[in-house]
Amino acid sequence: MKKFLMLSLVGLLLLSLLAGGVLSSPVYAGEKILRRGGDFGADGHIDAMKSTFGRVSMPYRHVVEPLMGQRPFTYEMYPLLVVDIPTVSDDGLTYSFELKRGIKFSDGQELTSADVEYTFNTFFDPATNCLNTWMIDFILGAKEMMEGKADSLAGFKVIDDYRFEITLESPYAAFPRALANDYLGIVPKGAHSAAGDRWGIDILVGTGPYTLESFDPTTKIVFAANPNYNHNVYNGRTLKARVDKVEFYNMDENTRYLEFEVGNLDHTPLDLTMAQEYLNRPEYAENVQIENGLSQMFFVMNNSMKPFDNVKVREAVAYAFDNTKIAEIFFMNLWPVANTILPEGVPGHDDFAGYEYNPEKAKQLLAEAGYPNGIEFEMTVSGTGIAYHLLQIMQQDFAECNMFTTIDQVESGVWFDKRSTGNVQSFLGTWGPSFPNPDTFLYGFFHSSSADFLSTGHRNPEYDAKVMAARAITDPDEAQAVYNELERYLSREAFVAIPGFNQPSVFLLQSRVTDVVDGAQDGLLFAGLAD
Amino acid sequence: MILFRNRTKLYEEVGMADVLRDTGLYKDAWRRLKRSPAALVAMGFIGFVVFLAIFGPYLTPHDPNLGNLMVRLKPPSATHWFGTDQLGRDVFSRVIAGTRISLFIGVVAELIALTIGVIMGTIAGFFGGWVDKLISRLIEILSSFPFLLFALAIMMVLGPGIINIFIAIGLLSWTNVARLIRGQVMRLKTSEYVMAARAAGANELSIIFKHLIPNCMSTIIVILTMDIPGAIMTETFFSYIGMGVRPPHASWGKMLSESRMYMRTAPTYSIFSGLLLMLTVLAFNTFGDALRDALDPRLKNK
Repeated sequence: MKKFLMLSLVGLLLLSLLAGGVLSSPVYAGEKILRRGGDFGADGHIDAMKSTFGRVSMPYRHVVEPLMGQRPFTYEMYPLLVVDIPTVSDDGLTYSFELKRGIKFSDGQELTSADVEYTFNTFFDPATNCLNTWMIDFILGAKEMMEGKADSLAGFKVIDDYRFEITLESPYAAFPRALANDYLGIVPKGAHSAAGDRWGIDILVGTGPYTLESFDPTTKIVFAANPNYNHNVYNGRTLKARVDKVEFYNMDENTRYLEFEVGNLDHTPLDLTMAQEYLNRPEYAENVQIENGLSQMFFVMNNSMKPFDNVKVREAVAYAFDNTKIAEIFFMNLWPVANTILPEGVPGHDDFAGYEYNPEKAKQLLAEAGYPNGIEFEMTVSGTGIAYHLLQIMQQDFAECNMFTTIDQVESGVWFDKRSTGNVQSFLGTWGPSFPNPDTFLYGFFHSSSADFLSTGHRNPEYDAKVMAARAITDPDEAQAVYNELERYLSREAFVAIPGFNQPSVFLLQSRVTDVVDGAQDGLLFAGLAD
Repeated sequence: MILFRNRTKLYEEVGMADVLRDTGLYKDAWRRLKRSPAALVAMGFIGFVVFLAIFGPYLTPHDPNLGNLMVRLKPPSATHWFGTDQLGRDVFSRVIAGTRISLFIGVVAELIALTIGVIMGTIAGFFGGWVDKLISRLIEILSSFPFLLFALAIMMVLGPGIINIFIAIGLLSWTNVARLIRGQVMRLKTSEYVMAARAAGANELSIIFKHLIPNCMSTIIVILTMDIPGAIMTETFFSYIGMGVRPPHASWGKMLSESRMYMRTAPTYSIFSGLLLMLTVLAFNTFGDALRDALDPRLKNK
């Protein structure tokens, strides 16, 4: 009897492990379900207005769409909710839009100009706490709204149910491209205002190819295909969801890899160390996907804080940062060296060879700056990710150059608070645009308006004026020349930040996943599964 | 009067020195402790860990904080006995360096807790009345918070670092000590020798420090031994979530946290720090358990 009980107990234990320890079988009761692993839902919501993370914008984009579409990797822009790419007035200030007729939100309401107007007003309403207003805060009246001086956007004019105009403060040639950003999705006026705090938690309504079925921040987000989705035409082909459901999982990194290996996940981002391991395993080598990205990592020194208020000190850091060694040995070249702030493919980029690691030169520059015995400074990092490891390698290299550092490892809330009040002395920053847009770097990161919020401490009115003037340039050659001048200033003259690495996207993808690249920013938005 | 004379001399005078032997509480405890092989092994292991902590810097074959990217995540070898970590640092050297930090934090944080706890518990137990009520309510309030969450909140305010770990653990761990000491002092303060001291004109401070606290010493020793592993585990928790010692310094928790990602590619990286942590906690618990039995006068003849 005892033996029987013991065997039953062991059997039950094994069963519970099989049932609860891993996901259910890849056979999903006749439904095709694409399963993606990550830390999706970790923020407790999927409202892209209130986030700057891809883990939020990626699932959000399945339901809520921006006005313009963009093809992944090539960044080719196309009209998504609008009939055509908007026309612009001769002074480059007013853009005219026309919505496609008959587009419906998943609650059955038709998309009209009133919804677009409501969305834009919501972006800039201080009560929204939208974190992405900087992307389009050059729309006329945006700043007044953000300061609470206006209730609606002066630059938005509704012509009729399907036509509207947006006027900018000053010309910005890349404005239509900015509207392809996943963070700028159009929400339905009625459903959004009625949802209140529940928006992005259990209510999410949009015009996208999927509808929100369920959301549990600790486990998964489930989207079901939207059968009425038919307005996304790319290259003459109507794009529709190719699977019945998409599930985004919130999982620990090691669990994700195990789930991928047993076939329970179709896609998961891949840590660089693990990428090397999977590349070395023949059965998974073809599952490792590396896609070049536009994100750059650079070493940011607070230009307003000592000792970095001295340009010679910043130049010395350029000679002390051995990004070539780190890229070759630590990143195994999966993250290539970046010697410029603007990545390859972005107007303004050039093939600058960078600065070689040279401790003697660094020491000499420090002495010229008035620090013959070297400098001491603090490098701040949140978490134990890549930057945490890199700073420890850099700490060792810096010490060879008479730069003695401490690493201040802080919790993410403390980090955000410290960084956004301009109190971080130095850190490794990552920044990237959603399309090849130099303005995202030059204005978004290095403009004086971000000096405190991003702890760059960089304030230069002349630079700011040039960045704003460059927005009006439409000629590609002229744009290249002007943006290159600004790039040279940042990385080679004022040494505002020291470029480090380009960050490609590295992930694992099952071979059964088809149609990966399609007319949307997320390459898997319209992906299918082979039978 | 003979009651106050040296008892060994007294036994000699009455010719019973061979029959009667005066041993004392600690001598008896040591005798009882020696009978437990598990306690002796645990004590030996604690001694070994303490030795590592004290002489660690002279034992490490490599600089524990200095990495060489050319030898990242290598398995154990003749050069690197426990292998290397993700930055090419010697894991053996880091485990030893981590021993020093983890043990130091465990002991110092517990001593802080013990000092506060003994003082508060003695004051509450000895004076009673509103002082006791006040301290008891404070103990109840502090005990009602989940320990780790409260400690985490303190660390969030103070920021990471060794000193702040001392403060967080010390500020929260004293309540259990105070509760036990309070009860013991309440019992002892009515005992005859305390009354005799009072009658002989001893003031309250002298009673507390000369009579009450020395008589609580066996309890204090047991608490110290039993609570050190708890403090080490708390440090491990803080370091694991990135709020402990600052990089590049090593502690067992930090090593476990950093090695988490490499459990599949370099399993030895996490095994050694985890093993040492586990064995140290086990040794302190086993030793504390045996010490409690050994110091219990009711078990004297068992």
